[in-house]
Amino acid sequence: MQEVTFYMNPAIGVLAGAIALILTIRALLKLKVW
Amino acid sequence: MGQVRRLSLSLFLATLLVLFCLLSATSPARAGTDVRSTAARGACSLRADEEITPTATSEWSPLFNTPTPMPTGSYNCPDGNPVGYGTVTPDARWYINCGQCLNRYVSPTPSASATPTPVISGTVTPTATGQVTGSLSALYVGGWLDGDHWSGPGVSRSYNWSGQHCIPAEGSDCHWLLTPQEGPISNHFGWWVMHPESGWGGQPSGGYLYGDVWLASFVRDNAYVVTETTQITVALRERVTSIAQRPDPFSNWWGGYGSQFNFLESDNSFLSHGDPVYTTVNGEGFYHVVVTIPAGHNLKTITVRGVWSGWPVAYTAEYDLQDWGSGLVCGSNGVMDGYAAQGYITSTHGIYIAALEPLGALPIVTGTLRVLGDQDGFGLWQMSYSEVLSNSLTDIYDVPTGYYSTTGIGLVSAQFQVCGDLSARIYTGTYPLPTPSPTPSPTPAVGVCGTINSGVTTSGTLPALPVPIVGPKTCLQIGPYNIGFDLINSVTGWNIAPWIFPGINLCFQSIYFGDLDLLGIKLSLDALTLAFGAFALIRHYWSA
Repeated sequence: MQEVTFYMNPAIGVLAGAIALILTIRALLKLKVW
Repeated sequence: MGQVRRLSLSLFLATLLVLFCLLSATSPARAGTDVRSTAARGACSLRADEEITPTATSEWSPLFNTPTPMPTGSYNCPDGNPVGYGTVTPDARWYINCGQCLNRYVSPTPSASATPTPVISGTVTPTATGQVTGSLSALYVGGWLDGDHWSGPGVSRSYNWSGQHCIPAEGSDCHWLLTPQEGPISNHFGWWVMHPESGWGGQPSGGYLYGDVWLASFVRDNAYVVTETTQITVALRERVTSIAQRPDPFSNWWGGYGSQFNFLESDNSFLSHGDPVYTTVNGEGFYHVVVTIPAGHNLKTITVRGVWSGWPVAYTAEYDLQDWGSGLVCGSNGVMDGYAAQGYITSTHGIYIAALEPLGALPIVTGTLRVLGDQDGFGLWQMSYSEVLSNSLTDIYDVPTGYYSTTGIGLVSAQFQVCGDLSARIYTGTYPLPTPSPTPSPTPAVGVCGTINSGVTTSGTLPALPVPIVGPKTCLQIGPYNIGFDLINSVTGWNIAPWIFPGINLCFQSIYFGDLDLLGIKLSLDALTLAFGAFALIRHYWSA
């Protein structure tokens, strides 16, 4: 059985999450959800 | 403003790229290089290992089990004392990193490598003896093993022969005649009597007979529907009732070209065939054949085609077809013994199945050994065999690696039939742990410890790269799965083998890049990454 390992750095994870959150908010704002 | 945003974002991405490249490109020139570059690549990609690594501990540990990586060298000790020993006073950092190299002579590091060898005296499980006549039929498919299916008035016995191919060198007549005879009937099968025509006189003439062919058919009352691919063994028993001039009753009979058993379906389409193998049981001759009948087919007829070539002889013989899995009597004094054993064993280095142990006369054993890799049935390994057992416990059937879990539980089962006097038992066991044999490893590369660094500098002379550390793994095992195509095979008549998905172990592991030591100033790459990224985000999204 093979094993595949994903390495995840918390700092990059935090930044990626922040970017995703910002893009989501911007998209919602453009769509005028609020 | 837009240019400033793009510029700041590009700066951030470039910084990340530089950090990753710095990690991956400055690995020390030693055994850890592969690990290091692989791990650095793994920060944004996948890493595939050949084998499952042990479960990670809950503690954070360095990613590389090597000394602090250096841009241009390693901390391996030289053979003998470093250059300058006794003449140069080492500085503090050199002494901290390379102090173990002083007054030290390196000897080759032993490494363990060995091949496991089977030990017959291993775990014995399970064991059983005794006669369990007939009980094996439940382990096989359908009622094929029940010889009664061939009995009754509906069994047709036909014969055909296309013989009379004779080249007499001296004799004038070598016309043979094959005559069916209805009795005596034993074991539900007809008898065939072959005898020379009376005109031949039964005397060897020295001629050479070849291509004498006869064909007998055995037809079932009802077609046997094979719902699961199975293996069957049938045998044609030959009883020579009158030997006039046959010097060797059992030689050359089936040695000629074309002697075989054909297995036909209801529409007489070809299903399978096998070449007979001659064996003797309790002084009687048997031509037995083992064939595999695929699932989704039916079996209606077995034709036995005999081709004989050799010196002409005169004899009469009787034949009957026997189903060796049916519990029919094999030989005049034979006893049909059956034994099925199964049990769980655990192995880390392999599984072997030792021989059946005959306690009586030499038996003939046909059957199947199976090993299930785990309790889900993954990794089915099976081996079919048909042989005359020896009287000693010598045969070992190795189970190939990969068909059992190295850490789990394996199911070992055996199914076999025996013609002959036998009390049998099966031994299963595991290979013992291999004995390590030290082998010298190549001399490691010598880096900065090869030469004593003199001076009074206390710090900062040797910039050290950060040591990435990784956290515990969180793994998700997918599979393995054993996907069969029984439905498709039964509908379409194909024979698609089951597909085994070996499974994959999907793991996630945290990684910290560590601190970069520049002239005594420690910079956390993780904090640096976060700070640069946050700054770039703010500049990019918030500056307007």
